[in-house]
Amino acid sequence: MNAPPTFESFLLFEGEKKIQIEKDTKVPNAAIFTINKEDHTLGNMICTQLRKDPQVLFTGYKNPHPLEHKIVLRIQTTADYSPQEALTNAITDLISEISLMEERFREAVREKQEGDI
Amino acid sequence: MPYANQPTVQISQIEANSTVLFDEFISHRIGLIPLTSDDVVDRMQYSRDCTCEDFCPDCSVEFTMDVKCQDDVTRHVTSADLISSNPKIVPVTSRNKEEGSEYDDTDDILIVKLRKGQEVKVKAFARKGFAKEHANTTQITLYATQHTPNLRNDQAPFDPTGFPNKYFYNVESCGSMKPENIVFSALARLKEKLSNLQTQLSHEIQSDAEE
Amino acid sequence: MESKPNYKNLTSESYGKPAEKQNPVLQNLVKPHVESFNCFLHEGLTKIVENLDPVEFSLPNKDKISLKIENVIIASPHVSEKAVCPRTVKVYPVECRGRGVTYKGSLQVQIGYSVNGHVGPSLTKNLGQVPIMVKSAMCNLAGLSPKELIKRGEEEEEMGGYFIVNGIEKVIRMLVLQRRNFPMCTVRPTWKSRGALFTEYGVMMRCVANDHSATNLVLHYLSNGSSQLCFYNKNQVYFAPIVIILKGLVSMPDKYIYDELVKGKEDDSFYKGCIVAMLREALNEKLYTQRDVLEYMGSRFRVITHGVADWKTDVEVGQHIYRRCICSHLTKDIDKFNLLVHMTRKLFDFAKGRCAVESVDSPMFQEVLLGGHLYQMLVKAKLEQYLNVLRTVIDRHAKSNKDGAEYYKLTPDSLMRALRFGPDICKSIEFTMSTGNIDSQHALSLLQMSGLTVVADKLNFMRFVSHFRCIHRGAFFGQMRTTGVRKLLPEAWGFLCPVHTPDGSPCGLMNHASALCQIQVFTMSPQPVLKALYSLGVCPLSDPPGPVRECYTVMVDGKMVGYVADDQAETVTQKMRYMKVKNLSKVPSTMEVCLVKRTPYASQYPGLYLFTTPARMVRPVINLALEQVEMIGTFEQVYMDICINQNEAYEGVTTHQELDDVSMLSFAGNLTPFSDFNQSPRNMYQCQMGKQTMGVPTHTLQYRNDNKVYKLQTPQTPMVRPRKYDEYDMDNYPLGTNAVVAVISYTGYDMEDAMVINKASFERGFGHASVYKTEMINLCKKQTAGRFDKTILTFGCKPDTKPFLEGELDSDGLPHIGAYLTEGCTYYSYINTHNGEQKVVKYKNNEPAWVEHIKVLGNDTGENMRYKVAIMLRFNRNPIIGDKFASRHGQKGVCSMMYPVENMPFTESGMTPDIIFNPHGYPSRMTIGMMIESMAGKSAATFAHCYDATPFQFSEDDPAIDHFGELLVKAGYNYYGTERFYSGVDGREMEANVFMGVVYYQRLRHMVSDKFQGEAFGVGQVPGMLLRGWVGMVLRGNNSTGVVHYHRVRHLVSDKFQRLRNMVSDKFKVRTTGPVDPVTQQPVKGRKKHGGVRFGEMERDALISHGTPFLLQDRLFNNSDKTLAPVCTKCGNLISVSTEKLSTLDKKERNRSHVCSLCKSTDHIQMISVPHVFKYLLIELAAMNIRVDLNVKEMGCD
Repeated sequence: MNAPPTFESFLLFEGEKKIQIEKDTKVPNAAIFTINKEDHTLGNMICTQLRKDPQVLFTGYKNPHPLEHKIVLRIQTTADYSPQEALTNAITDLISEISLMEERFREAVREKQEGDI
Repeated sequence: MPYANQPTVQISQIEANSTVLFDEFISHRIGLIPLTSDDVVDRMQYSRDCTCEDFCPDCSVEFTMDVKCQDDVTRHVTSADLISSNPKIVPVTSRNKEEGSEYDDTDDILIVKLRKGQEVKVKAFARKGFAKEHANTTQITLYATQHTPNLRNDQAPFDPTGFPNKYFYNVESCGSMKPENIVFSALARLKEKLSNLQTQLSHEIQSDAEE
Repeated sequence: MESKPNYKNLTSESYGKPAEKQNPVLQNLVKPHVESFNCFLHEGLTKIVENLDPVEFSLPNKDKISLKIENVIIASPHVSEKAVCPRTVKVYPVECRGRGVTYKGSLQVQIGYSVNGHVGPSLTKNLGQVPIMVKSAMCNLAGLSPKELIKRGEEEEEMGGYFIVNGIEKVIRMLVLQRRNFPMCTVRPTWKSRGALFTEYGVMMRCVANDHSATNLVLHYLSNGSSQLCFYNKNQVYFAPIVIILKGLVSMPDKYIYDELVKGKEDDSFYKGCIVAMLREALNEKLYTQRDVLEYMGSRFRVITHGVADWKTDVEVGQHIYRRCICSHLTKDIDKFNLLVHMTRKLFDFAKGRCAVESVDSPMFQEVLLGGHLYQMLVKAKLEQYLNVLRTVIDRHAKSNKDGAEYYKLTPDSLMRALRFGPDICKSIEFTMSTGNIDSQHALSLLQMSGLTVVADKLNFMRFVSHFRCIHRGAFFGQMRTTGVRKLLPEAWGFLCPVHTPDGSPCGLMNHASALCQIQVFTMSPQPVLKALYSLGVCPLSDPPGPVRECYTVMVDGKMVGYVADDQAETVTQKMRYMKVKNLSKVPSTMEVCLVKRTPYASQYPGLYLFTTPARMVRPVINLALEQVEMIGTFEQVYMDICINQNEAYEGVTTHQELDDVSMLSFAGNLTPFSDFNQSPRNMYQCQMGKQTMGVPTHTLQYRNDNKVYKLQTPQTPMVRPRKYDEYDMDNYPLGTNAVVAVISYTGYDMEDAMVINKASFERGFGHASVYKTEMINLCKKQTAGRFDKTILTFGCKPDTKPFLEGELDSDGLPHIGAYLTEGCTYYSYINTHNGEQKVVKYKNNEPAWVEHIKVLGNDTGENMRYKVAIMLRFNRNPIIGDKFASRHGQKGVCSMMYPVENMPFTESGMTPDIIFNPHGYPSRMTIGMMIESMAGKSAATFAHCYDATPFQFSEDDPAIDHFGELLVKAGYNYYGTERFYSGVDGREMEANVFMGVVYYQRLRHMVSDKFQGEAFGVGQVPGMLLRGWVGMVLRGNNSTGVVHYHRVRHLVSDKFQRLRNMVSDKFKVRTTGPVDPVTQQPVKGRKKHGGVRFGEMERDALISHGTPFLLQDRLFNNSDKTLAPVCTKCGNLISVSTEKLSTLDKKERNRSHVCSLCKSTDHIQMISVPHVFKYLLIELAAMNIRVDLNVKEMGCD
């Protein structure tokens, strides 16, 4: 009846930014990233990756409401490091990790197929 | 998570329908038929990104179905009656007839039954989508992860304090894509998402710095 | 019967093809209705004729006239003689449903008359048409096979039992009445107020003659040891000493009456004294003989007895009163005498505490008023009325005779003329069927005059069938404060379902018959019973086998037939039962035979009681001695030893066994799986909810014109179901879908009975449904003047007009089948044939619809096909947030969220549930049946089996949990049906085991789309935005914005889920849109009228306590009935101000100023804003001579 169209969950509205950065003024070296039209898939992944970073003091994300298609990510880092950098690094690491996995998986698939023959 | 892409029939125009089911019901049923998409899906455009006005071969595949029951016997309209304009994108149940061996013989999916004199004529467009948009674009019927330690794979002694460091993924396809392709597709999609985010983030950092 | 449920319908070749014969189990469910109407057609009509008193009167010329109905004939429905080339002469129900007319057959009477005893030729008169019950003997569907029924547009299993009145299916409600022809010991405190010396003790009897006409008798006990008989004549109450009444019945000396009364109580000196005193008392009235009494009665009753001719003697009138009012079920005076003697003895025993009270609330003393029986009473009353009116017509004709009243003679010609002025009784019968109301003048001795018929709602099969099994205690009891009538008594076992009664006001009053319970319909002759009794050693009353106090009295259908010696009574009873079961010597198989034994303590009044009367509830049980099915009644059941199964039987005690463990359950009660594991109220809720479920209501939708039909798109057969499900062929009318249910508190959106639905399940079709509504469009009603059956308007659309050119309408002015209608689009058009003007009608509903089909309707003669159509519209009602769902265990919940599948929790095998059910739903409700169903469903799904969920299949030694637990283990699941779950958010394994299984879910008809209240504005028109309070879901598409009023707030309230934000935005000035009450100017109430929602005192208190005065003012004032009113600041009067009189010169109204009619000045007028209702209050006060002065001060500029 008045259900929002399904594409709202992945298409950015006109003029909407994919990512917004907001400084957390209460604490030094902290920022809140709002990533629009993303969900736990990315949020959880990035967050887990960030936790591996020793210079990240705090990281956490939330999906404020299941019908609002965005995630809010908060990162706090040590003084010699910025949350932006941490996030960029995390994403870069993730991309390479996925590429590696893809490659290994491709190999495994090939091995299996050859083994079958 | 199930983010790979798959074309499915999304829009169908019912041109004639004298069956017992109403138009939306039939188009919903057609929409749920999985289509083969292993080879072509990456080359397809999202129809909302496509430059064409309505549908074009780049972003969609046209299906037609025109069945009329002339006999006294009940006519079963199935996915086999759905005729594709692209031989690479067909209902998964129709594929085995052309390729044979690779998949087990499956029954055609029943859409509607006709009695004498009833007919259904449909023009449908399949377009690319993904499961987040509508469940009929999902290509996975089951996917599962299992952590170790797991009772089924207990070669290693059980360590109650252990953190899972080994995962078992179980992917079962509905037939439209091979399971391994689903995994590839999912990984590619993740990568795409991340790199997209990466660019957006660097733009944002730059514009922040400029301010 | 013992066959386990299975999926045979899924694979069976023959499924879906019409069977040779209809399912007898289903047909039996409505049998009482159909049979009772057949009974009316077969024997009822002759009984009416027999029992209808002739109307006797004298003409002015002293001719003694007697009018009598000699024959009544009802014909099956046929087309009118004027019909234009009909395809068949028969009218079938499907046509009546489709056209919205009544399914009726003609009623013909043969009227005979005699003048001064000379019988004239009888005349035949067609009185019109009366409604005919579908599938009764007179229905054109009677005896048709399923195949033929389908051909006639009916269901394959059409059961009939209802009438079609104006296209609507109506059932006559079964009502509980007092058991006929049995004197009952009753205590009623109100009786004390009936007169001096009256006590609360009495013996009450409802006497019913063989035509079902009833009269009541009460024998009162007076505190001075005497007794008065209370009897009714034409709803008037009369009292007479019992001895006087007895004297009028026999022409015997007082000694005889005394001897009869004290028989068997010879040693009760108090009783004997009472009798002597009463007899002595009677002598004071100077009534010595039978003739004296009859004369006395006749003289008193002549005035108030209509229909008794003036030439009748007092004795004849007295006899008439005796015949009609006293023991009207008996014909012979001596029988009446003996019965009254018996009642007197019973009364005195009762008053002295020697026998126990008998309660009308117990099914033991109840019978059921059946549709056919009511119909018969109605027809009889109407025919009686007809004769009486005929008499007045003849009187009138005589008086207005041209040659003078004395010369008027009743001849066939003059009678024929009078007949033409007779009343239309058929219309009033049809009216009764359609409204359920009967005239007060012949209330047919019923307690209620309205609500006798109900609509047989075809919402789903369960509801439809339940209408025919419903037995109502009577509307009167709904008002009673006491709860005694509502109690479920042990006597009801097997007759009334213990779980199938609604909660709330009709609880316990509206019961449903157990599935196997039947109602005796036809009248049996008691003669074979009497013959059998006498042959078995029962002695006639005149010749007791020994001292009467050592004998049991034998009563058959309220007639004293003799005595049986104490030592023989048991044998006689057993032999009678044997003859009944073996159906020997024509002893009816539905007879009740019951020996009430003497006990040392006060119990029911002893005697051997036999009943063959109709309208009794009977049910089958197995007679263990004879190994045969026996029909037992409510009265005898109390004295029988019936075990439920073999294990319960006591050697030498148990005589009977139930057919089935679940024989006490009703049709609906039987469909609850594992109901024996649930807390009992939950089963009651399920009986209610099952009847509100969307499913497949009918297979003949295209022939029907139902107002509203709910249809589930993808119904399934339940994997776990009771045996009865198959017995009732419920697969033809399924009611829900199997859903994977996880019991877990996952997102918080499943609190308080909310349930989360998997969005992917929904998108694949879970719970998809449609609503069909039919709109009847009759152009006759559109024209302002003229007759309704002739019209100058006709459907059509000219080929050169826009709707036709744009393809919206066909040339017949109607939309295309399958057309999509949205608010404001073209709906249909019609043309005025006189001036050729075309009018296009727009679709007004704000819910879009598809045109399902259109029926063009003609009239009775098959002409005029151009002005009446029925358009059936289909509305999409796929589940949305706020729709109601329920399992079959009284566990209802509202969908609070469609959760995306990727965020749903999943199991090790990767399965996500369709529904998330909150675990808090279990502890307090204790619906263990649902848990077991869940486990059973899970193993059913893995093994592709169908499991039996009939209650009472498991025991302590063989628990259900173990049974299904082991099956689950075999399937590789956890014994208790739990599974490891992984979070859908981050994939981590959950610590707790989660209970998951398959439960059959029903979708209930209560949907938000029908309930939300508010105004819908177009997008962009109003910038306001609404958030659903709970869900926080943005309502888009039709941005509704609150326009709030004093009493009623006009905003979107969808159940309890939506709250308001941005009530007044800057662009959106205060406004009151929508209809308002003409007096108070406040918004009207009611969703249908686009009214507001009440903002009551409590809500006001809330705003005050929150300290939000602006909000308060906004809600209660600005958005309600704010008006600008002129006030005179000098005298402070609000209502004295009026606009200046229009001067004759200045006709411009605009510049008129306000003037205070008290101060006669225009200088002090100011405009203030006040609630309009305040102004109204002042006017009301002024009308009561109270003036209210306002102290108005200027407070700076506005």
